[in-house]
Amino acid sequence: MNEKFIFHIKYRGKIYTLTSEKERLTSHDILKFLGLSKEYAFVIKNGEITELNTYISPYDEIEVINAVSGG
Amino acid sequence: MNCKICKTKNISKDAIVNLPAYNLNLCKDHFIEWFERRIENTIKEFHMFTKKDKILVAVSGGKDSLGLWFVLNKLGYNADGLHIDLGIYDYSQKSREIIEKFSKTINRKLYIIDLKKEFRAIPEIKEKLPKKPTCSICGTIKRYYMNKATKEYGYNILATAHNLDDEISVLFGNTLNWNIEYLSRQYPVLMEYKDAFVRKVKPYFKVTEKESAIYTFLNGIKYIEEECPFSKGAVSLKYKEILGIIEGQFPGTKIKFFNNFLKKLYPLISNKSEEKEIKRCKICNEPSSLDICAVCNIKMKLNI
Repeated sequence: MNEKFIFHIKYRGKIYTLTSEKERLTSHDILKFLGLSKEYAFVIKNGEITELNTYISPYDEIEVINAVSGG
Repeated sequence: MNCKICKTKNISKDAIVNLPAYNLNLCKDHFIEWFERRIENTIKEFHMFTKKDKILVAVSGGKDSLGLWFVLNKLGYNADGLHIDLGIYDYSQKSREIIEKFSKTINRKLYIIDLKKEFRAIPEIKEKLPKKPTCSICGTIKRYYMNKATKEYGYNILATAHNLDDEISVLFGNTLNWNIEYLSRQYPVLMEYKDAFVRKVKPYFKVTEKESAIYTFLNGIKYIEEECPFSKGAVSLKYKEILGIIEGQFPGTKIKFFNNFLKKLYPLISNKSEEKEIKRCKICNEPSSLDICAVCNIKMKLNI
């Protein structure tokens, strides 16, 4: 059986869990998982802003900020 | 990717922000510098205000308004805060707490208008007037109290943190409907008019929501990330999504769309020289195009 890797993602006050067969994902993968546009959202890894191709491991502290707001 | 500005100084430093619209990659320090220069230049280009003016910043507790309040003070402007507590469950309570804490951090005066005391909380208004769109009622009430408070508290400028994405989503909607009346009023500076209206300015109109969020994050400003529970399904969010897709394919479209509107269409449709007669609401004496202003009209419907 393939090993599974679990990524915990903080987004708008909630924790989301992403289970992947890949040992590392990119910031872009994280945004796609949450269904967010790269035009508005970005990923913070261990307190630092990342580029879309930055690798994220299950041990990283991950937070996503979605800038879009409206009403 | 390396920071483009550092590179010109023969320094190799990783960029953390990529700005395809300007073909720029910047490190933290140079992004902050770029952002602040952009705000300062916008203020000067549109003659929004000077360091002698008394500015009131409308603060909701979100990334844009807190960032704007912070940057104006950092740039040396005299800016205090105004918050309207809308009484929307936990959302308003959390927003208010964040703003109160922030005002102490930057050591600036904060005025709070509690809608529950002045009027009625937004959820209660929504319940009693279910046919009216909540965002529209909320906007009407906020504009009324912001203009009134700015005059009453002795300020001459009201600054709001509408960003480029807010402006182009409105522009997009007004263009789809060819709403010339609204388009003729969509300008980043609305000048004061007699003793009825204060000057209203939008210093963030050239920065995107993402640039604004990055600036707020990099300065360690805590803000409310949750969306207003009543904004779900808002048309403006759909327009932003569509415009985001276009921007992804053709970087720079958003800023060009708004800049070219200001340069090419706005001068043809604005009525700057027209002397308007200002009527007053018969109940509250605030400016109104009708005998009874929109806010007093809502109050009447609610039997207040």
